[in-house]
Amino acid sequence: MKTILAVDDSATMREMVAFVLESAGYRVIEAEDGAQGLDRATATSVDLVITDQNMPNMDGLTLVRSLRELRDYKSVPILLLTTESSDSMKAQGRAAGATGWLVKPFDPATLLEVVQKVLR
Amino acid sequence: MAIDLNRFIATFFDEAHEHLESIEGCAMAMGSGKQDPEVLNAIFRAAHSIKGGSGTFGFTQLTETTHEMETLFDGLRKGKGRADETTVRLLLDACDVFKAHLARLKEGSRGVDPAMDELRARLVGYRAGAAPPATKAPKKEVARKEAAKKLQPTEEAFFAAEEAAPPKEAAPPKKATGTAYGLFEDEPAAAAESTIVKSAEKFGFFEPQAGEPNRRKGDSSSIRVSVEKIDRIVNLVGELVIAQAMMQQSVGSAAQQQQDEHLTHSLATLDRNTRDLQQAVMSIRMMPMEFVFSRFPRVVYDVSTRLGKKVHLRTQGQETELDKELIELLIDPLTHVVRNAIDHGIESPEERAAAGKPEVGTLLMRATHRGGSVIIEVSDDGRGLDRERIIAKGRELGMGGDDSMTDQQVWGLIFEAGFSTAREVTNLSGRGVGMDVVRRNITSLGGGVSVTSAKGEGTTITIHLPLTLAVLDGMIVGVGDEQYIVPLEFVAEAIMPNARDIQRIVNQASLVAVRGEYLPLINLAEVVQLPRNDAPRPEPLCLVVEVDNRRAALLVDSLIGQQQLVVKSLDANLHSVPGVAGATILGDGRVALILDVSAVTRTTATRAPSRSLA
Repeated sequence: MKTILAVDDSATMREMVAFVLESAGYRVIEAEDGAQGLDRATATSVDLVITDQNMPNMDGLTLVRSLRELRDYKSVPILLLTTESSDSMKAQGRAAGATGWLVKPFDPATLLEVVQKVLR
Repeated sequence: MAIDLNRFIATFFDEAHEHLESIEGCAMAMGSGKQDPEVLNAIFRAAHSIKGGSGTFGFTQLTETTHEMETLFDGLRKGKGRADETTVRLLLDACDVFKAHLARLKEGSRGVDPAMDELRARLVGYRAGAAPPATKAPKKEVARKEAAKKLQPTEEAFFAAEEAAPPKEAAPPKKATGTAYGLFEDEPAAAAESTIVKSAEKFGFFEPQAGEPNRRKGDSSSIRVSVEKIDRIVNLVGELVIAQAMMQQSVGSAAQQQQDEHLTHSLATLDRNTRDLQQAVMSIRMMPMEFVFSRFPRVVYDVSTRLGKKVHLRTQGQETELDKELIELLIDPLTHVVRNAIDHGIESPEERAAAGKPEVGTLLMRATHRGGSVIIEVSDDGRGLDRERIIAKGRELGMGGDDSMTDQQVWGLIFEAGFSTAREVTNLSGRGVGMDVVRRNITSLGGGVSVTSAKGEGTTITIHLPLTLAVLDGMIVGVGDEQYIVPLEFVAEAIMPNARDIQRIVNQASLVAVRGEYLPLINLAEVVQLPRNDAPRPEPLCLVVEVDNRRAALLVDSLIGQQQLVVKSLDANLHSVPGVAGATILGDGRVALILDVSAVTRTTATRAPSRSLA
């Protein structure tokens, strides 16, 4: 079973991501901000990270950069969950090392589609 | 895949409220001159989070308005413009509008909320550098267009197409998909798994436990559970305690008589475990006082700015825990006490300066545990109560009042119905709700209120409350064939007075002398209108009770014992009866009424004819 780490400071979002992915047979672990996400990611093996961008303590881009510095996370797919899909966001995401982005609010089918694509 | 959004909606509402509280807190911090970028950041993030969630549920107005707020604070945190007093006011007003809007949404109302349109226009206007229009919304259309332009993603209901798009690999590309996500490279890293496993060996303590979820980091330190579920457990445990008491009563004595050690021991274990279970369950319902205190910076800010006073609020003991039900019922009385303290207690900055005090008054709210009670104090360093004026007012209102009264007696007058010394009725304190309502609310919760005050130095209002309303230590008394419960908290002592100590005065309550003090004697049989026993008892038995700074003696037939009781609400099951605080089931299975000591003693204290309970 593939494990997905969902990082978002909004419990609503975490619950929804977890529900959609768990319904599809994935194991989901949650974190409330970037710092906690980094903790979780180092404590357990994760196949995919889905992270919010705007969070207290550590934002999504910093989390992506920090994960990419870890040996274990050099090539693990990371998706940025974001409310905007502007070019500057995309440039920043790419520069930080994210695999892709997904606009929030998301539709479950789209979430599953992109997750299946990156995990294939 | 079909998703029932209602599954998440409660979480969203809870979360939105938390974010609004946080915005309020930040606004207050700004109000006290804190221009910390972190404060602006926090407001931005909170607005952003509400926006994110609201879009999911199709709460378009909420999305659009929080978007404006987010944009405004994004600018401010990046140094575009400066937050000032008007920003604080705007934020606080915005929180009020958002809260009201959330309440509407919670009730299921999905219509257009004009208040939200107004707020959005005000936010847009504010950002444009204009003074925030207080009531009108001149830029409504501009705002609407602007918001619409920026918020394409929320224009659609996101789960609308869920049935049409099964999560198959070959899902037909939907119109939205093109912009809903993107991958920076077409082929994401494929060798991810093998790399993880291999390199993990080099970091022993991070080594993944194959197939076993790693819980070391405490994946869930808390869970959200609905109050209904908890209340159901509390109720069931209550029933269990009653059943246990019944069994103890029926089997326990038999076991002792027959010297059945095994059974006696088992019963004792059951008793202990039941108590422990009850305590553990009660502790689930406990909430920290922080839930109450966190509301008050806003109250203090609003009241003091409106009155032109400077007040610094300090809180202590936020971690003190109290039953959730009590917490909720405490908010209104406490709000009144705080308003009173600012309105009547704390002086204007000029008056304070003239009296040699610092211009900023201090209001201290403190909560502590003492025995089985919670003590909540509200202290101000204001002008203190005016003894002469209270006495004069008491006399004028026919409540009695003379110069020989002790301070405690004089302060007691402010809790009498209809008492208010405010020279003019302000729209804050003088709304027909007086300290008498505060006291009535608190005593109905099984607690009490008292005051201490020193002229020129300040006033302290002390509220004490039981930890919970669900269980109660009670004295079981016999009246005729009936049994009643007197909450132990109000019982001072039990006495057997001599016949000559009892004074009967025509058309007045009887009095009993207790060590030189005359107390009103209340015949419980009369109060509950039990058929008169033929002869009065040769030796009268009295329970001296003390409530609201008032003492009285209850005439009863017998004292049966004291016991911890599970309180059953009467009005939840039947209807509220004056003089009765609730009911309980005794160990022998009988139902006994719990007396509302405050109401029972008040009827005689005011010299009114005894009121009946039935």
